[in-house]
Amino acid sequence: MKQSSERRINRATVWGWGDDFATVKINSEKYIHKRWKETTKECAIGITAIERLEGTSFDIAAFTSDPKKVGDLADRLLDVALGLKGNIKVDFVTLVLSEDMVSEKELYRDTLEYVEEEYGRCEQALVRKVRENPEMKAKVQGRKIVVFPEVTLTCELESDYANKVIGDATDSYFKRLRNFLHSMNKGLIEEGLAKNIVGFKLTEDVEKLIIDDIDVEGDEVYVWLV
Amino acid sequence: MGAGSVVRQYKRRFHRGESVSDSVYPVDIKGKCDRKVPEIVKDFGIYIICKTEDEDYELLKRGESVGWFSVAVVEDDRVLFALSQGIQLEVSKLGLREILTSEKAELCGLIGSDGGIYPPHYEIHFISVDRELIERFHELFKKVYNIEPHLYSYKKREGAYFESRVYNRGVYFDLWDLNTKPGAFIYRVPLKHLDREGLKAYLRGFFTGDGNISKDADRFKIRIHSSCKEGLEELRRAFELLKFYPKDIRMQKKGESWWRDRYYFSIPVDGFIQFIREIGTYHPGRLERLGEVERRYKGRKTRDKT
Repeated sequence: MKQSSERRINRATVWGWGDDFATVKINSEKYIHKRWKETTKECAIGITAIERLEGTSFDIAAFTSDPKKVGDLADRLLDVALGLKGNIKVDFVTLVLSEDMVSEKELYRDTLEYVEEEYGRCEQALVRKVRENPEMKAKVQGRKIVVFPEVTLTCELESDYANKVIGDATDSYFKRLRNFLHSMNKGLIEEGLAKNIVGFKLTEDVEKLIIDDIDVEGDEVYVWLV
Repeated sequence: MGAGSVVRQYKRRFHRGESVSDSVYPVDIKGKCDRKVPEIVKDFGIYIICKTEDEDYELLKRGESVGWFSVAVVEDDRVLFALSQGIQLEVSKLGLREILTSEKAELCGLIGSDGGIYPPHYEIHFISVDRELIERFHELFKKVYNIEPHLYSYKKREGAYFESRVYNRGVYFDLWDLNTKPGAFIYRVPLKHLDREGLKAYLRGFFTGDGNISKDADRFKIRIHSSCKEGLEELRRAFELLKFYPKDIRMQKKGESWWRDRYYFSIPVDGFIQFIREIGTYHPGRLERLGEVERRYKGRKTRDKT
């Protein structure tokens, strides 16, 4: 286990790819037994993972104020992540102890419809940005531009077992990203870790996104932005 | 003084000016004298490789014998001698270098992506959801170390994970010396032990584990993902050495302390055919997708300069 040196936040990686699956619960409970103090208000259990067939990277975090639930939550979150469709690799399971109720600040309340509209606006803005890019002018002239921006979609879930559950996924193909987050939420609800979806948030920054690669074929130009 | 003239004595002692007759030496000494002068196979200045009468290869350093080998691969600019455990000795104008065989390089790539080495019990393992990759790991391990790993399986909800595991001190230290896995969740590319074929094989092994070919609409993107940035930088360097033009490393910033950062870089579209031809994969899903990529991009202009 590796521990962060931050004062108010205690952070540790309790499991990593290659470790025995059963050790996640044991390590989490050991860590909580050693580090949970009277001033500790909440523990965040974070999963960092990727689906490697399509390259969708995703994370899940569950928050609890009950130290007895941490081991079980870590074990079940790992189970949900590994059970998702595709070729899943969970890189790390991380515990973060804090002296604040950090989950209260984690608010993602947009509707899926709003998020989809927002993505549409982002797409249009990026098409304009690509078309106006002087380096791209010759390549895009007279051609249809299709953009693949790398965006993150975050979802807030209500839970009876934990204080809150947050899931996010990052991908450059929005349709796949939305579907993946949907199956992740379904998995969390089926496992009993979450009750229902509260809302979403799309993280994209049209200004900061830069052209990573292009593919010109016929009268179409495909542009990946990261 | 012996009998006869000085000239005759001198001739008899040192055989100057006359051919050596069969009767002068015993048979064994005659045999040695009749041996052919070793044939020089390659001359790299300080290092010279000769072929002896017994069909062995002798490595000479400044004229002194430093090694004998029964097998050698002689190429235009180098000679390779097979050593044990998937290592070859490369002799060239640049001197001596121990390099990995393609099998060992690929094995190290697999360990770098989805495997690990752990010190307490000298454990070497490789985990995958794909049985085919475990079989490939076994095949390579057997070829390199002549050891058959143990297979374990874990049931996880909808699928199973397979783990190939070996406990062996010698193998552990061999991989440790190559700096394959210097710490928990960290890997390094043994660049100084990889020739061109080794680089390709290492990348094939790593990509088989941690690679990805996404299909965005009907377009493709080849990426290498990792949570170990230093290792990813070396992978990118390996691609550069093979005259690929990989994109810069991108961080997928999480921002929150309960998640860890991930990184990736991608292979540009005009490097796809070169990627298929030189790197490839053993991953069944990715192999299928590479077939799709090839069908789509075959005949397109590539940046291949090899």
